[in-house]
Amino acid sequence: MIVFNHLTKRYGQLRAVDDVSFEVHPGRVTGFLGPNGAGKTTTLRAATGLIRADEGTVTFDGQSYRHLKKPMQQIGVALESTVFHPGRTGENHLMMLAPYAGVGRRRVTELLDFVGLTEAAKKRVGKYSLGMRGRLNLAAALLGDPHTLLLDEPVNGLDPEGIRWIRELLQTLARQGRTVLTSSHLLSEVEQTVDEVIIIAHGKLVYQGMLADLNSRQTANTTLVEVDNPEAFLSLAQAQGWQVGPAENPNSSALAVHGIDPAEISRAVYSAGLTLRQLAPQVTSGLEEVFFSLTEGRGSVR
Amino acid sequence: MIAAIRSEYRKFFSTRLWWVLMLCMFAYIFVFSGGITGVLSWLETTDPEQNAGTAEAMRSMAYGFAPTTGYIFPAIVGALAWTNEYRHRTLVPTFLGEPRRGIVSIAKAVAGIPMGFVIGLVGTIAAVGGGAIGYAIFGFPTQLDQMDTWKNAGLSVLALTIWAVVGIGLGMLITNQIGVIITLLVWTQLLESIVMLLCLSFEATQAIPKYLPGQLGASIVGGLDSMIDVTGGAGLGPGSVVWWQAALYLATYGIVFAIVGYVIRIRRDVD
Repeated sequence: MIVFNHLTKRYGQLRAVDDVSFEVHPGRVTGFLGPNGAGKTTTLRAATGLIRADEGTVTFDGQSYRHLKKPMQQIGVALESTVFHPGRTGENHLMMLAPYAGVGRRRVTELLDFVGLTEAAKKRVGKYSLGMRGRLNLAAALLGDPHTLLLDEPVNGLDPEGIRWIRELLQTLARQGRTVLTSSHLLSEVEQTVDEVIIIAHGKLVYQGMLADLNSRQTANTTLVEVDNPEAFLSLAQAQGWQVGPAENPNSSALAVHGIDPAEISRAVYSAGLTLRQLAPQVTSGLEEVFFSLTEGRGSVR
Repeated sequence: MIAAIRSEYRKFFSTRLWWVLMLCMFAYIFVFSGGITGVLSWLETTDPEQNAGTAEAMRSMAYGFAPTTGYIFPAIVGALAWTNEYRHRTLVPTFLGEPRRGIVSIAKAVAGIPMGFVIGLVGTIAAVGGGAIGYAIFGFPTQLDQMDTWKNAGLSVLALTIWAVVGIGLGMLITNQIGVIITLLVWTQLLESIVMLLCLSFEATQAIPKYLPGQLGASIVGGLDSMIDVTGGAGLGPGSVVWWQAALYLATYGIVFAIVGYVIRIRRDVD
């Protein structure tokens, strides 16, 4: 189990990660979501000791990464795919890490085969595509047969076939009882893979729970209303206790009514002797919408 | 620790850098060393009265050519052990594999010593080989049968090995690859000579030049003495540093660079 405990990382005035606490459990795939710049990568770097947290801790079964002995045998980490010497072959990249993972050439060959890089093994990484680098990065993470995996945007650059392969792999690993945390800036990308989601935005945790629960969480329905006499409509809305705001399109004279059944709006407008010009319920269902509503307006910290 | 050292070796030998630099070093030292002895021998052959003994006098200089001029190569190889990792961000997998950065630092230094030794050996072979050929062509004795020649060759290997360690330390302090190469080139090819001349112009600072890194490296093979001979005894300041002192002082540069670099650079956040 991974425990993030009040993790905070500041860059000057900016709180890239702001008091983030959550747990990642074994036996399931946990999605770590947030828009670009939300602080996902910073969180993963702090977890693995690459950067020092200003406050808080991250522990793996009670121990911080820096205190793990042979960490590659326990935690497999794949951060972004730009961590290779372009003049070194893929095979040699793994061979250079093999001593840390406590494995030999046989395991390296095995993993190159597993991620589909056998043919490219003796090629310099400089000639690899983004997808191949992603696969090599994943092979490095799996080298020491770790019980926990931390992956940052693992599907980046992969073709549809590769994406499906990685989805199945992560689920298989989780079913084996391993702990899997995988980040993405797109919920749709991991929707079919993850069991649990953790969402951060602007460095803050905004949601933690099962994907199924997030699914049932509805955003407030909005109805666009346009009448012949907007002022009369506003006083009507006030009398009814409706929440009214301007429509998203500034050129529209319509008003947005939140959380009220369109049929009810229609009846009230009719009773008040006003004429409806437009009554348009806005569809806001679907996970991606929920995701946006959770992270809206506090997306990027940059 | 053993895992970290093994990883360092694999890093070193898995890119083209090591043999390209070693080849450059061999060619550079071989050509210059052979050129110097060849030209001097030729001068003495053509005009024996004017140039009597010139070739002989330059022997220690030519055979010691590796640590007096070619030392930039092991220094660069050493420095690149760190800067390559910063430049290509392989520091990320390295520190994921061994999060204790002190261990990685020590492993790089320990792995660097035998590598420096090999580079030193190749450089010295180039200097002595090139020089001996230059003498042999014009029929001068190569003195390869003399104990002193081989003692100096051994010290030349030592000097180059220490230069690799100095490079490793400097690479921890200046982690930018271009930055460290330029620093090494500018200091060794230009600045040190200027500082040396300035120091020698004032009585109060005359003792300083012999402690400058390039001079210390040269002193390990007795380069300083030969320079004094050449400059007609004008010398590089009072007193001289014996080879083992010079070796210790030069190594101290590397150790100080490494300690300061560890504190202000290596321990920093890795982006």
